[in-house]
Amino acid sequence: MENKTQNTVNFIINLFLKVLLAVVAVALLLYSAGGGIFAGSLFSFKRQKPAITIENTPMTIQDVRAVGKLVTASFYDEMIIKRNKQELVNTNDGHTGEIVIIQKAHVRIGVDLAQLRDEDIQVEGDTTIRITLPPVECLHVIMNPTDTDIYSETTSRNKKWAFEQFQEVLEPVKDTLLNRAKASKAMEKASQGAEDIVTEFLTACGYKHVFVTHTPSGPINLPDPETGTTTEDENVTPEA
Amino acid sequence: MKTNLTLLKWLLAAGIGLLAAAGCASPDAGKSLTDAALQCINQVSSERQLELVEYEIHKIVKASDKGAWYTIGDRKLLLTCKAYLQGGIDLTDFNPLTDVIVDEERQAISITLPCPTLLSMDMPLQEVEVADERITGLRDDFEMAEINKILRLGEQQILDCVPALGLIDEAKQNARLFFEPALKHLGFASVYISFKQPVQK
Repeated sequence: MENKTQNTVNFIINLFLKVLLAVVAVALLLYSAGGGIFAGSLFSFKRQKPAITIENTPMTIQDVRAVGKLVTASFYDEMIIKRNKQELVNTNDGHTGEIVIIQKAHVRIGVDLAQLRDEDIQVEGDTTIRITLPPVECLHVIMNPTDTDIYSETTSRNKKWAFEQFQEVLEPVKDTLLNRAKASKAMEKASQGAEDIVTEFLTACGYKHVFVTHTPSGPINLPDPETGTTTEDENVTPEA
Repeated sequence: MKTNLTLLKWLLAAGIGLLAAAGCASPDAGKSLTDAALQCINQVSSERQLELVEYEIHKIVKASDKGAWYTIGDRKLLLTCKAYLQGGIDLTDFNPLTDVIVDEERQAISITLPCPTLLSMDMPLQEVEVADERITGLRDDFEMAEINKILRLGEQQILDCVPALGLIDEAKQNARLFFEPALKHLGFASVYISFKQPVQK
């Protein structure tokens, strides 16, 4: 009788152990295969977060403008920005924290042909034309969300970075990248490109002698004579 | 009992071995320097584009994060943003020798321009505003990286809606308004503007 009871207990224990081993083996197999049907559940050690979703909302066209901008060069640049919360001026909340951002920018450079005036075009006879193009300028500095990469952000006492603080960090970056574009060879390339395109077009229109010049561009942002710094040096860490 | 314990040890060892093998298989293995080289771009490059129209777009981005089944609470974020879309023609497909025909006798000029397209989009972060943020339960505030991901989704939604904006027709109209007066000022009596078929990608 005692033997029978002992045998029954042993049988139950053995069965339980076998079932447990089978469950563990199957779970490990599924996990190693990439999570499978258990991906995102308690059994998955990766514990993938469900994605944040956005609703498909309509957009409003606020304005439609006719423009005439001839883009003849592009300048691509990127920089690493490292800021501490305590360095902020307008949005300082008294907490500590650091953010590191990799910011890319695309500067489109060219000439705004809408600024051409009648006196800038002089036609002499049927074969000669003289045209003075407006100055070459940086038409757009594009820094979209896809160009912004937040490398790391740390905060103290669970006080996370506010969006306004993030905007303050990025505020001087646009000017810095704009100045880099203005100081680069892109301006010269844009100027030459604009002259070439206008010359080709007017030659195709039948003019044998085409003279294209530019109105001089504005000054580049020069260093402050008192401090020796430009906006490029303030509040940003140059790319290593 | 001893047999069962031995079996348990072997099964656990096999499971750990499979885990280790899965962990070692890096998704990045196999990438060579060639892949990195393909991502290089020139800092300064030439362009030949004529922007003819600019759209100013206002968009509200509604994001929600209900979390996994074990999380308590959810998160919602409401953002407003502005985007500027520039449409125009890419003059790399324009050859003045073949696409411009001048009839000196009739003082007429005929120009065939490339089909307008979306040239660039600017969605400045300085024009984004957080209208509302709701965090309930035990959820954490949104991190900057998460907000940036939400804005990227909004940016993609705007790009997806571009075909419905009528940007191409508007750019064609502006091209005529741009070239006709300029060419008439140069002395042409008749100006004909036409467009090539769009290039299918």
